[in-house]
Order: sequence, then C-alpha cells, then structure tokens
Amino acid sequence: MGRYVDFVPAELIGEGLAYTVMGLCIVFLILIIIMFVIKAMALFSAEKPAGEAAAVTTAETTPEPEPEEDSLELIAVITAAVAAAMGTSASSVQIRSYKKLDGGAWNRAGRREVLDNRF
Amino acid sequence: MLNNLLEGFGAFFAKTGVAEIFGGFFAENGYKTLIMLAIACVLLYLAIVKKYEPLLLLPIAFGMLLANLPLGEVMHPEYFIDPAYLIDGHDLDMNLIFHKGGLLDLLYLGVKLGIYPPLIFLGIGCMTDFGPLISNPRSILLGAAAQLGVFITFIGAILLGVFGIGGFGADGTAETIFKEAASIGIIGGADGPTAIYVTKTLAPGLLSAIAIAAYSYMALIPVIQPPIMKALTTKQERQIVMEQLRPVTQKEKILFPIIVTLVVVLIVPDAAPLVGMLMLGNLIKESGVADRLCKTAQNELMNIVTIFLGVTVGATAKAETFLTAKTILIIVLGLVAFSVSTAGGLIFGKIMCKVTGGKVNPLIGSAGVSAVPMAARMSQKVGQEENPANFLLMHAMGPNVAGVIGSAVAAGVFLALFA
Repeated sequence: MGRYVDFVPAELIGEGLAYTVMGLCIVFLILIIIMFVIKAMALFSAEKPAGEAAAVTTAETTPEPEPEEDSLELIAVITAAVAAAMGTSASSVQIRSYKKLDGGAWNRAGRREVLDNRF
Repeated sequence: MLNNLLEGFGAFFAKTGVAEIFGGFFAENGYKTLIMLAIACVLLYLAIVKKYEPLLLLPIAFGMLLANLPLGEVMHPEYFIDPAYLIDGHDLDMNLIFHKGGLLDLLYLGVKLGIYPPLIFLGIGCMTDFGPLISNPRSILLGAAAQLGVFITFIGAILLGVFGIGGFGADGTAETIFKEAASIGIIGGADGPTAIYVTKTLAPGLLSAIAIAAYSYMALIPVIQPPIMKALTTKQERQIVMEQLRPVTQKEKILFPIIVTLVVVLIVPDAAPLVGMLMLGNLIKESGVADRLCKTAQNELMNIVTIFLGVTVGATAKAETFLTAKTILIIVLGLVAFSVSTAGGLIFGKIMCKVTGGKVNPLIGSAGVSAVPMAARMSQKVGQEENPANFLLMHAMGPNVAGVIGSAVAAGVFLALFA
C-alpha cells in the first residue's frame, strides 16, 4: 500500500540484473586490458634486460665462494647448534670439517617454516 | 548542610549516564543501550582474546562502546545521516559539526569526506608486491572472477528491497534500494577500506554494520574458504604443481603502477582515489628512490589512519541504526557475498585449468578475493594438504593482489552508477 513510490518491482529487478552483468563485464574488461598491457610490457622490456639480468646473476654468484670470515661465522653457528642439540657447552664441541649435502627434505622444511612465519 | 550536600550529589547523579540508562530503562531505549554496550564488549573479546583482525576490530569495538555511553556526546551519527540535520536534506552542515560535534564527529569527517580509505590504500600499495601478477598476467582474471559475489549479492539485496524484507527499501524508492544493495554487495570484495569507501557515500546509515561484517569475515577466512575450496575442486586438481614464476625486472615493476592507473582511471574515474593511492604507494616502493616515504606510508601513516578509521566507524553504531533486522541480514548477505566470491574464483580457476591443459591449480582462484595475504595463504595450505611438496603461495599472490584492483574497480562502477 503505497510501498512502491517510484518503481515497478519487475522492472527494478531487470534493471538490477542489467547492472550486475554490466558491472562484471567492466571489471573483466579492465583487468583483461591490464593483462594484455602487462604481456606487451614483458615483450618489450624482455630484450633489453637480457644483458642486465645476466649482469645481476653474475654479481649474485660471485660471493658464493665464501670468504674466510663468513665460513668462520658458519662454523660458530654450527657449533652452537650442535652444542644446543646435544645439551653440552659449545667449548666441548669441535667442528673439524663440514660439507653441504643435497638435503631436499631439510630445505623444504626450512622453506615451509619461513613461509609460515611470514604470512 | 548535610541536606545541601545530599541535594548536590542527587543533582550530580541525575546528570550521569548511569541515571540516563536506568531512568529510561523501560520507558525509552535504556535497555537497547545496554545491548549495544554488551555487543561492544563481545567484539572487544573477539579482538583481544580471539585476535580477530585486532588492529581494526579493537578500535571499532571501543568506538562503539564510547559512542553508546549516554550523554558522552563524542559522536552524533545523526549529523551525517539524518535529513533533519542536513542542509536541504543531503549536504553536511559543517557549521553544526564544527561547533557542536564531539571528538569522534570531527575524526569521522575523514571517513565521510573519503580521506581515510585511500590513505590506507597508499600504505597497502607500499606493502604490496605485484611481481607474481606481472610474471603471470593470466592470474589477474581470477581477481576479476572473484568479484562474482559482489554482484550476486547486489542482486540478492535488491530482491530484499523490492519485497520489503527486513526493513530494506522502506522508503520505497529505487534509488535507496540500489544504493543499499551496492554497499552490501561490496562486502564480497573482501576489502575493508573499499567497503567503507562505497558505503559512506551510498548508504552511510549502514556503515557500522557493513564494516563490522566485512572485517569479521576477513578474520574468518580460514574457516569460510577451505570447505568451499575442497567442495569445488577434485583431489587431482588440488595436487597440480605449477611452473616456477619467471623473475620480473624492476622496470616492469615500476611501469606497472603507472599503467594500471592510466587504464583504470581513464575507464572508471570514480575508482581514482582508491586505485590512484594504491598505485602511488606501489610506485613509491618499487621506484626505490623514496624509501623514507615508503616507510612512513606503510607504518606510521597507516597506523594513525587505522586508529581514526576504526574508532569512528565503530562510533557510528548506535542502537537506533544498529539493532535492526537490517544488521542481521547484512551479516548473512556478507557471508553469501564472501562465499560466492570464493566460488567464483575457484570456478574460473577450473576453467583456466582446463584451457591450459592442467597447468593452473584451481585452488589459486579462491585467492582472488582481495584479503591479502590470508586468502593466498589458504590456497597454499589447502594445496599442501594434498601434496606436501607443493608451494602455491606465490602463484596465489597474483590473483590476490589482482583482487584488490578488481574490488576497487567494482567499487568505482557502483559509485559511477549510483552516487
């Protein structure tokens, strides 16, 4: 009784449906445009950074052969970890040599732990 | 002497909030005030003990507590929504707000004038890495698909308005029905600032209910999403391992915010404040030349704005507007919006999986809702349950950040249509 001031219910629902379809289309349209622009951007910035990327990787790989100081630090860390795990003091543990193993499971566990802590 | 003293205490007591509540307990709305205070305390409990989005829920709950204590006069939501206080029934009476407004009225201007949500987007931009999206551009489509809930809920809320359920469409005009429906639908974007930005313009009376629904569901993502994700995908699909993402150059990362701003703002100018600030923040970060600004925007500025936004949005929740059937329906519709958005992303993920011949794990689709990084983390978690060696997190971050852009665009569309 006088509830509908300025509309016919069926027309209003039709209009709402039209807005829904239109809205979704605009959202998709804009994001599709952005997608193509990113792809284009990747194409045209791919040639030049090829040299750059190579430079970056060499810069990153050079420090790989650990300098003396870092390996001392690493030995200190390993000593502390072994001592903590064995429940003795660090002075009673002597690291004579160490070698990196391809421990896939440990890497994976470490990665998962870092991810879980970050997010 | 003693009589005077007693009289003095009596007069003082009559002016306290305690007298106000109990004096009008049954005659007026005293009991409603008590209910509001109880709700505020429950929200405080959820924020402090359960840690549901405490950074926002805590200020929201305390704002609610503060605004509902009688005679405190820190907040007058009616100055912003009641036509009796508005000039010509729609413009803010700044003179009244500046002279009679309480502390929270003045801070609320930052919401009402649309200042806080874009500033929060600035901080989010400084914290967001669009790298995963740039290296896998297809994943942006999932961010669009996960806006499905926004528009489906929009239709649902229109139906409520047309049939006059729960007090929707009470004034019988199409305009109000559309505006309220758009504000409720945008909860499905899973983006608090965007929901607040749309609602403060289109349906300010629903602001507190919508903000509380939006932030509660963001906190409940780990409960809401996994069952939907498992129901809509097969075991094989969940086990798909995706190819490693290619590294992205800094040049691409710098160009990205500029290009997105151009594309979005040229087509949907109403999204400019949100998308513009998001991309400015991201450009500050990726350019690497304004580190100090980046730190301020993502820490101090964002924290300050978060406090102001939370406490004032909470303060708009007064008994008259909050204790209604509408609030309950908004909470229900919000859940529908969230769930349908999650489903939309997953279904599109399945389509992409088929089209690419099984290269896309559909689980990353649910990350298209823009709750960063919770939604992406859910993709990672559910994926890892099936295949412990699978790392979907970075793949899911692509749709996740695309979802932020997607919901801001959806907000812009609504504002363009109904504001």
